[in-house]
Amino acid sequence: MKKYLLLSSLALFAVSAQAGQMKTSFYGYIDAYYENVDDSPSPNSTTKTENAGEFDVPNINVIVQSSKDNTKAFLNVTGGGGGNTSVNNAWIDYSKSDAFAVRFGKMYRPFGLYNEILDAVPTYIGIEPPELFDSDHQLLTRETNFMLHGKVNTGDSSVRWSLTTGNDDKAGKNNPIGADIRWESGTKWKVGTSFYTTGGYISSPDGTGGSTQHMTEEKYSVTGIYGQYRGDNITVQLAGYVSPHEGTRNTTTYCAYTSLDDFRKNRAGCNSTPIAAADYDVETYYMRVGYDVALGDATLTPYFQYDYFKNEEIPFSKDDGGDKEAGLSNNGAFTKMTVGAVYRPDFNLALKLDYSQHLQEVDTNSNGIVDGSAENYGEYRVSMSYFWRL
Amino acid sequence: MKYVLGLIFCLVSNFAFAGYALVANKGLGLTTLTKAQAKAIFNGATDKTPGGKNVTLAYIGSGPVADAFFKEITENNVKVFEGAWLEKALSGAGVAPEKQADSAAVIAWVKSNASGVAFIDDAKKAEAGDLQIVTVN
Repeated sequence: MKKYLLLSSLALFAVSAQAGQMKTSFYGYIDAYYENVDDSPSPNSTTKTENAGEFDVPNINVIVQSSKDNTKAFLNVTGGGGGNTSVNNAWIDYSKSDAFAVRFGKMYRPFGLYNEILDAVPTYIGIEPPELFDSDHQLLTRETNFMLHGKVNTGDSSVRWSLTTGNDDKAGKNNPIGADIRWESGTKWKVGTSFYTTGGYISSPDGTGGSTQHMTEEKYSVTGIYGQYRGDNITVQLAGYVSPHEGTRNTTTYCAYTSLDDFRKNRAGCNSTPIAAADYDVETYYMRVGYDVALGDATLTPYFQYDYFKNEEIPFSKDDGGDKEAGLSNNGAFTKMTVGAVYRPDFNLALKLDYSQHLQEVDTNSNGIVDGSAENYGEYRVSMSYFWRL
Repeated sequence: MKYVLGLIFCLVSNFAFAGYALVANKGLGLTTLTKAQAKAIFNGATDKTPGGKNVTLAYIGSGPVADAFFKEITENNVKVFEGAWLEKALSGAGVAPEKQADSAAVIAWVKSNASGVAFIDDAKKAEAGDLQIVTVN
């Protein structure tokens, strides 16, 4: 991390030496985390799996932002997990005006309320990201490489637009495209819509982004709407996304997965004539509500979150490119309800504690019949995050 | 009773006269802003003056002057303002305004920042020296 920082800082300061009006800011944050999942059910088994508690430091980020006149550079280096260092963002942005700018490099795609701030846990009220960004069943890739964007001010409010493309889910000749347009009224209201398409079939998908690794080829798009209201004390967020997929299933690989339940086996014809053509929708929506209670200089924010996610194609085992949440459910759907609180003794420090209940139907008997029973299990998490500025 | 009335009068008059003044570095050539323009600047919808010059912001983080400013201009409280700017800073959408202790610190900061814009206690305008007092219509 040190090496990246040093090089980037030298690069920024080298330019700075030639330009008196350049402004450079440094930010950073650390997010330490503990999670404990209750004993959880598994497909094809009535025996629950024991889960060990897990400590992690998922976000260790150092950010350098520099600007001069109409040009901006941004670097976000992470050492997430305390292991490998990687560059999450490194881009240069040139704006012709507020309404039109070009950004080039490696960046998070504007896509709803969270994609650009997902690593920055201190800034939002929950601990877990909305389900569309859960790395085990992501709806789409987070990063892209080229963006045209701008902001049009209309009196008290503004409209921000963006068009993106990049490596994303690119494989072969497809050209992935993302778009996001949002209306903002100060800090109070934010309402928008997002769109993404792989721009054609991804050959040999590797399971990253929204693709599934047991497909020989796959294409998908994602469309969603979102809104946020932030009053003096209350924050309310709502969003919903749908992602139609079309692909060719490698039935030899898929049907050999031992964790497939009867629903998935029947759907893919694993017990009769395997069906290679895959055509399914992934859906998700969420609601998040938080209320700030002032305690002197400190703030306590109790919150409630409701998440729904459905992906009927994805298997259960992570070894098969699967997901232990959607892959557990016998129709791929689960809901997650979370209650928790954030305590901020001051603005830089956030202590968070929350508890979630997962609810889904699970097929615990492998007999060729979908005979699931309603199962639920809980998990609790603790997070401590801190940010600084130089 | 006389003391109670006196105390109430002091509190009410203090509340009534808690006002802000917008100040800018003279180099920006900024003399007037509409309320919508000031809101756009302080909420990060733009980082430029109507004349196209880049601005850098500072703010006072607490007290009646800050309360009056945020209520009227950003139409939210200081915690929401700080939270929204932190999101922008950590995602590359802008550089968060610098928090200052009081009007004197803001005045010193704006003097030393060629692109500086901030608010101060209306009663401290006389101490602003060669800073531009920006009229908000």
